[in-house]
Amino acid sequence: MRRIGRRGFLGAGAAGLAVLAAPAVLGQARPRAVVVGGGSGGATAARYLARDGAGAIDVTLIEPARRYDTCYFGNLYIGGFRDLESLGHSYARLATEYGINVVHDWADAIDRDAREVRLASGGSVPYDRLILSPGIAFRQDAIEGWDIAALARMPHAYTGGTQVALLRAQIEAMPPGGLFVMVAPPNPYRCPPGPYERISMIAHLLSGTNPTAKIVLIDPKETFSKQALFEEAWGTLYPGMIDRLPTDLVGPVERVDAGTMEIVTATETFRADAANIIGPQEAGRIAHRAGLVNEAGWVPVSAFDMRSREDEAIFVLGDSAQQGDMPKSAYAANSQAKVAAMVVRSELTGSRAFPARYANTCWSLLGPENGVKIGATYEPTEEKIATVEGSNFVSQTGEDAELRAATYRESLDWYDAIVADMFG
Amino acid sequence: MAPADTRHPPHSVRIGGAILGLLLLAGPALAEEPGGPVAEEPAASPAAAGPDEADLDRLLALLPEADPEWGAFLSGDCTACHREGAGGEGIPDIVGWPAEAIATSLAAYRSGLGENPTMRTMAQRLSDEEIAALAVYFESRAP
Repeated sequence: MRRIGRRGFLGAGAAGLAVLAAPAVLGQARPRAVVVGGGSGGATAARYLARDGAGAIDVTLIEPARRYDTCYFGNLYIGGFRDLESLGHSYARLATEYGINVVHDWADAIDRDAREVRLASGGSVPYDRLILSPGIAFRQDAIEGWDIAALARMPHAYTGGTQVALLRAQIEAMPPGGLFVMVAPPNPYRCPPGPYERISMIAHLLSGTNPTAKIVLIDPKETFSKQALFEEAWGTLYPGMIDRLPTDLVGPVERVDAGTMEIVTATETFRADAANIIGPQEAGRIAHRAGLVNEAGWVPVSAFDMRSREDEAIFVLGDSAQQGDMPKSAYAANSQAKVAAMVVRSELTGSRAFPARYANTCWSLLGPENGVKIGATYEPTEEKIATVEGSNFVSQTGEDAELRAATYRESLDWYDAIVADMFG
Repeated sequence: MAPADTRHPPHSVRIGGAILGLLLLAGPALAEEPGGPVAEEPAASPAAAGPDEADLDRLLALLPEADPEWGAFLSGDCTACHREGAGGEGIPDIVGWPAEAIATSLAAYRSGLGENPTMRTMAQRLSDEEIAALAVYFESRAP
């Protein structure tokens, strides 16, 4: 029998064990689950806890933004395939239909001994179980010259909404024949195909409005996700426009200057008309403040339930977690959230627990009606979340237009489905 | 378990002991998908002819005793893409389908039938008991 967490047990034949499953909260009015971060992991976890708990769990979601702008499909906005409004989602139904206490505030600190989340506004929220899903932060001082002030001219556009809108506006303002430069992030980072889908979408946008413009992609990695598919598309759809320069050719990026729009590598200096710097990443700040991160800046978790290896009352989802083989994707965070919610509900209410399982699929758009995807299923091991052997799949080069259009339509339905899974 | 509400009729016909006309077929996207090359796995495995009829009957026989609560958890793999009440042109709404239709479709994907690599991958790791649990769960969610 597979281990499924400290108090977990297999579903079948588990009747009678339920009363053992909730020792932490016996005698209390309603057990309290607090979720920090209202993205793909956090919103899903909060909604599943509230829906499946059916009133038995007091669920609080702490999220500073009033509206969630998905990072995914932000590239489709840049390419002109979506409007920004369609990528924004309200938390209202989580409050009105699911009874979640949605608190629009920053989680400023976590007192793990007292089991309280301290809010930036001064209050605090006690928890029996805490789920952290704060996404990524950019490593400070990783690139000389790329500081908070520089983000206005050299956006990362790697969180949804404002930054994505800014990047597109700057690309649209490029002079004829101008130069766009992206600095791609080192592994690991959010959305492995994201920078390359973005390059495709920028090339599509420029092909229509500024066809003599050039795109330079400075990449610290030798290889990247869906590489054959992207490179085929760049050669056929946008010939001569995109130049990918691995840093073993031009050297690592040494500094940037948002005033002169220069990107300086060991061997070359690029002067960009628009630039997108996607810096090195780590877990969101609150995970650091909670003392849960490792030297690499991520939160090690158990593969069986997404529980922090440092604190048995805290679960960490999505981009912030160091869990093993799963990519940092919306789909993965949503998948992990369902496991964590199931385990937390079991611990708080004695409901049945089941063995964890995970899945991922990531779609990317190469050009109009030209979608590709990659995915796999995953299973927990003592060491990590491991890819189920032989489960990897990826779209193939040379696929016909009809299949690519069908894959694109799938991605549109996936988007609608996952945001419904998060926000109701 | 008798097929109940067929508000979302799958594209299947029950003949003899098995549901044929597979629903692989399962929805508009699958029906429209061309037979082009997909995924890196071998296109034609010995099992690619579809599930053995006796195996499928064994699976369908599990439905009356299947565990919808387990299915509810397992459905987390499905609901990131299959949206309840609003299937699009790319991915069908499977909520409320008859259990036999869900089970037969998943068994077919598991056996290697169907061009959609996502569905084949999702189905490949499912046991008979898991397929049955999913099937009765989705049927039980009929609006």
